[in-house]
Amino acid sequence: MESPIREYLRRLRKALGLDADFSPRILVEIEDHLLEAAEGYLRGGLSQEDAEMLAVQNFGPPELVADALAEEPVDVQPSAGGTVLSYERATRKGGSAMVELELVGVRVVEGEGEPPQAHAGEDGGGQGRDAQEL
Amino acid sequence: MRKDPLKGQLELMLLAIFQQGPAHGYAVIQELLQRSDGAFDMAEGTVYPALHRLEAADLITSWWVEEAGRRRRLYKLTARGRKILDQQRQEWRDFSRAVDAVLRGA
Repeated sequence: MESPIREYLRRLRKALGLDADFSPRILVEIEDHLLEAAEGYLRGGLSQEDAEMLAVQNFGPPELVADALAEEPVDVQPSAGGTVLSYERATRKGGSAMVELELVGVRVVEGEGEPPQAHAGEDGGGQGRDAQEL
Repeated sequence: MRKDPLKGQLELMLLAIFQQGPAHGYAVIQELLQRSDGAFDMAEGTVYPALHRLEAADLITSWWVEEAGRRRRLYKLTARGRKILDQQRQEWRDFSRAVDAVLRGA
C-alpha cells in the first residue's frame, strides 16, 4: 500500500502539472519536510501511518500548495518613489489584494476581488487542517 | 476585512527569521510557530511558495545540503534581502503605530 507521504507527493506532482519547471526541486524539499515532520510525530508516539498522515494534513491540501506556487512573485521596486515593496496577488480562488506601504506616511490600498469559488480551508484559521478525501 | 492578515506579512516575517542565520523550510516554520506563540499556525505547505517567491526576488538564496541521508534545501538572506528587511521592518513599525493610534482614538 502507498504510504500517505508517497500519495501526497503523487497528488502534488499532479496538481503542479508535469511542465512546472519548479516541480522537481519543490517535490524534493516537500518530501524532506514531510519526512522530518513525520519523524517528530513518530517520536511523539504515533504509528508510522498516523505520523505520516498528520504530517500530510498539517502541510495542507496539494491543490492549495500548487495554487500558492502559481501566485505572482514578490515585486520589489526601487525606493525612489516611496514604495519599496508591494504585493499583488491574483490567485485563482482567493480574489486579489494589494497592499502598498510608503516610506513617508502610510497608505494602504486593499482590493478584495469577488472570490470566484470557495476553497476548502482557504480563509479559515485552521486552513489546511481539514483532512482531504483520499 | 481581510481574514488572513498573516498572508500579507509572511514574507517579511520569513526574512526576519533568516536574520539569525541559514535555515531549511521546516526549521523556519517551527521558528515562526514558536515566536508567534502558536498564533501563526497555518498550512505548512504555504511557506514553501513564499520562500520561492523571496528567492525569485533575490531576497534570499538557497543551496542543497545532505543531511540524515536526505537532500535538504537551506536558505539565507542576501545583502539585498537584509536591506529590504531593515526597510520593511521600519515601515511595519510606522504602519502599526499609525493604525494603533487611530484605533485608540487618540
